[in-house]
Amino acid sequence: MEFLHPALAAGAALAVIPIIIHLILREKPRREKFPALRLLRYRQRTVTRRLQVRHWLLLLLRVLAILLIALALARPRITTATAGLDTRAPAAVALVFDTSMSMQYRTGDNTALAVAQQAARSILEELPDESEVLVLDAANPEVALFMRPVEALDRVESLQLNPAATSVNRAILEGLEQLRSSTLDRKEMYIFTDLMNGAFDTAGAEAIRDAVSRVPGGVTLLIVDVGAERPVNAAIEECRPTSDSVPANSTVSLRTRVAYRGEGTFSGRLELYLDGQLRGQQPVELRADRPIEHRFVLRSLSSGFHQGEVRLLGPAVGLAFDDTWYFTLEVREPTRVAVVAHDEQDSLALAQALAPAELVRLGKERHRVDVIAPRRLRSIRAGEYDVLYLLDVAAPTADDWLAVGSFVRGGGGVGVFLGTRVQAANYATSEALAVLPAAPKAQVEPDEPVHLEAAVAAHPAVRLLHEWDPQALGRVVVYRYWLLQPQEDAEVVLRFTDGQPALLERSSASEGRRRGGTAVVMATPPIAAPILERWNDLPQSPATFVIFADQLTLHLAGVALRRWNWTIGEDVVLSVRSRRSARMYRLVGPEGTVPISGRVEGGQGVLVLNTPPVAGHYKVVLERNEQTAEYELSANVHRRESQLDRLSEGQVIAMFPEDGVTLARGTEELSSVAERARVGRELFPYLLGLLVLVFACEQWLANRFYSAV
Amino acid sequence: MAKPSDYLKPSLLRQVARLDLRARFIVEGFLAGLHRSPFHGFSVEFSEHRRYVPGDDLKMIDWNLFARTDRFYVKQFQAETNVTGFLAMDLSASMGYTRSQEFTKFEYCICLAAALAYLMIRQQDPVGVVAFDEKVRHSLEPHAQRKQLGAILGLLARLQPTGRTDIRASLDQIASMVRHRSLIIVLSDLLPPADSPGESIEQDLEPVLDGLRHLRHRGHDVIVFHVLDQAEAEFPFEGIAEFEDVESPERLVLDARGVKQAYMETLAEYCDRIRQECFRWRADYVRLHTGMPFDKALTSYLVSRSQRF
Repeated sequence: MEFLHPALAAGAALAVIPIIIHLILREKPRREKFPALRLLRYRQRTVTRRLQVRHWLLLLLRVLAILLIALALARPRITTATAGLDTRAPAAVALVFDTSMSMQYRTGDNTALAVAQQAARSILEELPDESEVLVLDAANPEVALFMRPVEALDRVESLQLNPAATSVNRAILEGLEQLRSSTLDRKEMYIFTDLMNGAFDTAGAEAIRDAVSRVPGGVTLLIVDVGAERPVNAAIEECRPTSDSVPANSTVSLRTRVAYRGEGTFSGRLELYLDGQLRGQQPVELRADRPIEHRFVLRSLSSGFHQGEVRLLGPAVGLAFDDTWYFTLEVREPTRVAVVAHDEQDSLALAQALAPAELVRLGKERHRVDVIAPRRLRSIRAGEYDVLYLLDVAAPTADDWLAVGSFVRGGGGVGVFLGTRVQAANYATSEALAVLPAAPKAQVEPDEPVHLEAAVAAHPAVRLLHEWDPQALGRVVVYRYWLLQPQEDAEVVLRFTDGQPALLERSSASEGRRRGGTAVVMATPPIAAPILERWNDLPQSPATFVIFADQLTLHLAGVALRRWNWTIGEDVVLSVRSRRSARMYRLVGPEGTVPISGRVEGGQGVLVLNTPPVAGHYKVVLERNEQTAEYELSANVHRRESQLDRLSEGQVIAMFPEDGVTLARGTEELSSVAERARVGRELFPYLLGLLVLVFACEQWLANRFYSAV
Repeated sequence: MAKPSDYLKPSLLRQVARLDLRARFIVEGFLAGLHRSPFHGFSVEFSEHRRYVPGDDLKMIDWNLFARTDRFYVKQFQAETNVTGFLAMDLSASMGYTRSQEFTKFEYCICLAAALAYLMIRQQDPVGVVAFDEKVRHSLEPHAQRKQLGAILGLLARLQPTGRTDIRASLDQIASMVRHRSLIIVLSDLLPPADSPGESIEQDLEPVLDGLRHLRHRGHDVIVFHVLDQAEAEFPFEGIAEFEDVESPERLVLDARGVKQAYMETLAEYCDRIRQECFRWRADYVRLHTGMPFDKALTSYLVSRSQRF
């Protein structure tokens, strides 16, 4: 804090006047004869103390009043870290721009980004030519270099919205780091943002505060809020197909979530386009802050990739980018499944559940099932089938297990069902345990009936079943099961109601990036049998069993790895069939063909692409054959950019050191707030207000004291 | 022209200079307001019958009742049970206090005493006066003749409140002076001097209550008229004031508005303590202040008298 007229602060010495008056010219009380004085004496001590307190309070108020007058005349002001510097001197200025898609929001004719650019121009025009300016784009802050104000003007003009832009944290940190290296004394940072949720990553507050404290000589921080206070917007927040990759002959549903923010209601319609053709439309009635989910159903899709979009049509309100949602859908050939069983009767239930005879006859089955004898197990090769089921196979040999191991490492899925024929020793060899998540120990026949339950309801193998009927598994009666000895890295997917594991999983893929399959062991087999020989009722619960077998098979086939819908900002991970270099791929998107900026990890058939630059449809092609898409994918802007939830002032200020940042609302406040941030804040009006308050208190107290008798 | 009942108000009565007239106006005004009160014709009212015993006057035998019951009964009248009254006047200097420049507490008590004397003489009750401060200073033997009223009024008119008080000693002295069972009417502000050695209400009141207990112990009926100045009862002061005692050199500087609530609470506690002790010893306690009409006091007296005899 400093004073404009420090000499006048000496007037504070006058505060002794009321003290002298208080001590010398005490108020002469009126004399009153009062025979009942004795009654006053009883409470004399309390009453006298109260009187003294009031006297001192009055004295304090009078002293305070004189001090405040002296202080106000001296014109004090609170100064910032950089105050005192010549405001006409060259400055090192960092201009941080939030270029996230929410900055597309228009107030009047201008987008929030345009307002930010205009504000930045006004700042740049006032800077001395020798100043050094950094222009930082939140989407790509690492490329900023100090430049002269004139050059910075061009850079500001060229800024564009970037769907990959997330929070401004990185840009702030980068800006502070570069300001540290500047030799100029005057350092300023302006952050242009709409303050929408996501503009700041509040978890990074500590890093920002630390970086601010490390700038020598301090830095003037100013946030310029260019956002709308009450934004209005209608948006498609999400559109999710049942699965990105579905077997042929599947029915696909598209769940589309639409929301409206603002006042009143929004009336419009949703249109679904697939491969450029209109495939459906639905009316939409939205009320503020009440999102609604619409559902489109797609049937009879041919094999291959399909790309489409859902469009929200109606009055043009708010942001434009979120009125369209892009999606890609893969219709695969039916899953290839081999069921290894000693007896055709054993495999009948599973084979029929996966590929019912009627659908096979019509050519509409979702899975193609071959039933093969155990002796052929060792000859199965990776890639020949997607999924291999060992259904109560009595005694697989070491060679059999080696073949199964190879199949899994090659990306196949293996399901082992333990039943009557199983010889436990053959499932506990080192070769077997290299594949299996658990070894069988002994058969158990519970005295009381037990049932199945999901240990992880969100697991892909049981999620759909659980959503369809949460009680479905609980109705399946289990009469016998194998007690299992799980391996350390096994995960329990299903368990019996007595607590024993029923279905265990072990994956050789980590985080879905490395190519490798999954193996599961189920302690009770889905074999249809007479009641006295029955292990469980699963085959007798057709709907439950069909969904369970289907979902387990899809899970083992690795459908989860076949993901084609991505959010801009996240790396795209594709499971590729070959081990070609990433350089051989090209990405064809809305902005033309670009070389893929990415890598193939560890030569294991996983292609990792950097995030797509804009929302839309993309095709991954080979360099030498750009006409044929190897893969297709879609990218959309993160839904938080549509939600337009503003951060509170307190949340934003808490990101910075205490009293270290100033917030300006729009360009109107910018110049005055910037001036205040640079030179400090005058305390005169506050002191004057306080003075009035002190006078009022003094008057009130004095009137109470010395009112006429 | 003022109605008789108007004279019950101290503000109007103050315009009447003569004490005998004041007493008369008070009593007449009071009686005029009674109408069909239970006190009508009180002095000769038939009270009860009792069995004839040898020695009773034959004139008092109720022959009508004899005719009905064959037994001798004697008619008994209230007038038979005359009450000897003493008006005990407090002469302490604090009784001379008035803030409103109207009646001092003492003048109020003089009017009240005169009215009571007038009423009692009218009832043919013997009435006397004792006046005390630290001890009994003046006394007048009780008589029921009409000339007694003049003597009482003469004495009352001469009294002046001047000294310090010792209520305990004075009441003890009165208790030993009055041999026969009498009605002793105490008119006082019952205030201890500000320099009393006591440290609490309990300690300060002990001598007063002891004195009253002594009177009751001797078989006397007691009515205490606790008379305060209107300012003492309502504490209308404001601002910083230096309060001075009238019987001692004690002074106290206080914020009057700030202390009012505490004072009112203390006063209520003080009066309640006296009232409770009076109730315990079956004495009557009447709290008055100089702004109150006199009828409350007279009514209290009559109610008390009718309950006792």
